[in-house]
Amino acid sequence: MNEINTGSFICRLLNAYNGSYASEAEKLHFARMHGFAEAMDELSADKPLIRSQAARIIHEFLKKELHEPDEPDWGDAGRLKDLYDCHVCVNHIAQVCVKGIMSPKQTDNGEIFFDGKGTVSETEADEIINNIFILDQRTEIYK
Amino acid sequence: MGKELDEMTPNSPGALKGKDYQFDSFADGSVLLGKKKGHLPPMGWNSWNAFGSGNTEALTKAMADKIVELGLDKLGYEYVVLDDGCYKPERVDGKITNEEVKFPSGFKALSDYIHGKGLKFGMYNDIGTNLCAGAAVGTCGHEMTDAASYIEWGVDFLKVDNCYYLWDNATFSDAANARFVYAPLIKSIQIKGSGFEKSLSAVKEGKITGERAVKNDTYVSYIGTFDGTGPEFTPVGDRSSELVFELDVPENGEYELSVEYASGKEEGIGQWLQVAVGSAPESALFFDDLLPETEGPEEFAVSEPIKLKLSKGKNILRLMNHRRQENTLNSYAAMLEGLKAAAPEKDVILSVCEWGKTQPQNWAYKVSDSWRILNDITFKVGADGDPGTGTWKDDYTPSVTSQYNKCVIMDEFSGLDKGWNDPDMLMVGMNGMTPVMSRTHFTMWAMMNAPLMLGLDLRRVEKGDEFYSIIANKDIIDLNRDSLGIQAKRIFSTGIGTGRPDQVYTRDNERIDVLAKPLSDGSVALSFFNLSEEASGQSVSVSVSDIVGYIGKKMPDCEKFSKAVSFELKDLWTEEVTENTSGVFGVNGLEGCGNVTYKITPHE
Repeated sequence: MNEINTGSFICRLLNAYNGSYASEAEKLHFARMHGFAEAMDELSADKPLIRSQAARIIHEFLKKELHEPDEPDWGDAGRLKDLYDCHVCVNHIAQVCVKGIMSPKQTDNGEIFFDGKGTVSETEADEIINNIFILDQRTEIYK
Repeated sequence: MGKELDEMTPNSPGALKGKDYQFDSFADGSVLLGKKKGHLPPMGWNSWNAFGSGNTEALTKAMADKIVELGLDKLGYEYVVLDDGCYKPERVDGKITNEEVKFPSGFKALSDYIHGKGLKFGMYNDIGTNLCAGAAVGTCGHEMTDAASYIEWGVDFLKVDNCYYLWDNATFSDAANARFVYAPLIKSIQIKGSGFEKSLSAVKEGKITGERAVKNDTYVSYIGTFDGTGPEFTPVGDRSSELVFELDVPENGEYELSVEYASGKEEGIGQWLQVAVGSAPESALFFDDLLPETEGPEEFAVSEPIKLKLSKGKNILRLMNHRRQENTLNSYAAMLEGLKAAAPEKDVILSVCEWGKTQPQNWAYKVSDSWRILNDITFKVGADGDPGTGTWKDDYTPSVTSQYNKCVIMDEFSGLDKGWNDPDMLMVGMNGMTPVMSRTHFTMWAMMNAPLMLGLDLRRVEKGDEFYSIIANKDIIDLNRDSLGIQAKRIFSTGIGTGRPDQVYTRDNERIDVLAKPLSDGSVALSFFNLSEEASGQSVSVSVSDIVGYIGKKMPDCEKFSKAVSFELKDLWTEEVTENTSGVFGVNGLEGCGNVTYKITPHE
């Protein structure tokens, strides 16, 4: 799997958002100034993007840039086996799942989990970004 | 963004500093490092529920301004606490520093601003390597340096979290850390010495203490301490399990113990063994370390002999692992030690935030002033312009009633000589919390002597409005500030059959609870809480003898209360004052999530 790094993901997100020709450093700075990236995202720009980190960036982007409100009901996202493993990630993970932007994974015995520590592939990153902007493409299953 | 290990990070939990840090000392009531006691629960504002990681210097100053403008400081709100999200993600020259976009002036400047308002300044860190939001600035291995920074910045209050903790499977920690907090599977033991030799089966001859450990067909597992992060288990009683053998030996002297065991790194199967002889406070610890790894939990091996001293006759041999609690105590003690080293006379309020994982009600009083009892009360925190969401009930921890249901039976763990159970910060002001829910939530926290930490954007509050009428109710706040410092006791519940109402753990919210709290002026505060979201038409009452039966010994003048011929009843929400000559106090129905709280003052 080709992992996407944090900086590249934020750049792709902003490219899809406003088609900016700014440099990666400028895009990261924009993201930070607009509150959907943290200082640690800039610091880890060349490191693999991990799923819980992606959930946070996406959720904050939805709220702060697209003004998309939270889903009040987590629906099936509330069943994620590892939902509460990360205190600060819980609502980020629940929202990106219930909105159908990021897909949970499934164990052999059918339990759904998020895998917050896993990384995001290049292909996945493209799917996620499409899901953010093209509502019809958001996965129905976990809505 | 994984945990960052630097040269300061220890690579093993290491030996405990002494008997005072061991499990067998938890019940002795003594503090470590001269930790000062006698504090009432802290009151103030914390940034997390209000703004999450999005808190800034400007927002914090605005909150401090509002605390003074609203007169909340006169009511007791004094701490302004920066929670997670305020640091640079990595240390600079080995030190923690401010995130420059959000906190451009630095922490000292902010601290000076807050002190200039007559308030106190609080901050946040973590006993692990990273903070929960990921910044690699956890205090693990850096306690002395970080404590010096906090003292330099004028910190009066420190909340310390537990993510990325190295010696347990805490949030973002390695699940394999279970090897530190559980004993291995034990199949049998052999004792030799003084011409004596005996083999004993763990399952047949061993006894399990507590409710945690499990006897399987041929071995015992889950020798360790319950994880208290979730709401599934009561906090009362023996939260750890040991495997105990009674040995009858012919002579005083040195013996050798061999243990047949299998190690693991997963829930219930660890690698760290403690061996003690005798019960607290006279016990002696003879082994406290990792055993060599076996091939796996299915492959048993026999340990090298462990030398013990036994007395002629009966001995209690304990195979155990209390390191979940002991390691965590050790880590928080290291932070306290750092603060003491940096400012020996300064009394920084220390708030332990390990979410009840290690049953802190047993040990945290030794090093701190309060301890969280569960995972978070909300995971839908706010942001600038977004109040966040709180709920009344939930199957897990994020709700008023989840936190209340556990805290309400923990009153005996708290007090001025110990510290306070912490059911997390207030959710007054969040979406999802109606005025009725908020009033009851605030009253519950006041009665339970919980820290009263506001978590709303105070710019939304004006004097006299709905929020203000709740958070500024002086009569309710006074319950929490009463100098007796006694957490209310649940003396009756419609939802508990047999069993003591102050000890039975229930999560069924279809009930009305009655709590009684003795006050320093000889009065009693009495609360009726409807946990259900549905209105109840039920009449519920308690008498003077019911009250005295449960809290009489804690009242300053129980006799006066018992023999009073009449009482003044003040409803602390409506301010209505009535006279009662029956000595029976009750309600005829309660709205859903509602409460009626009286101050009952005896007349001669």
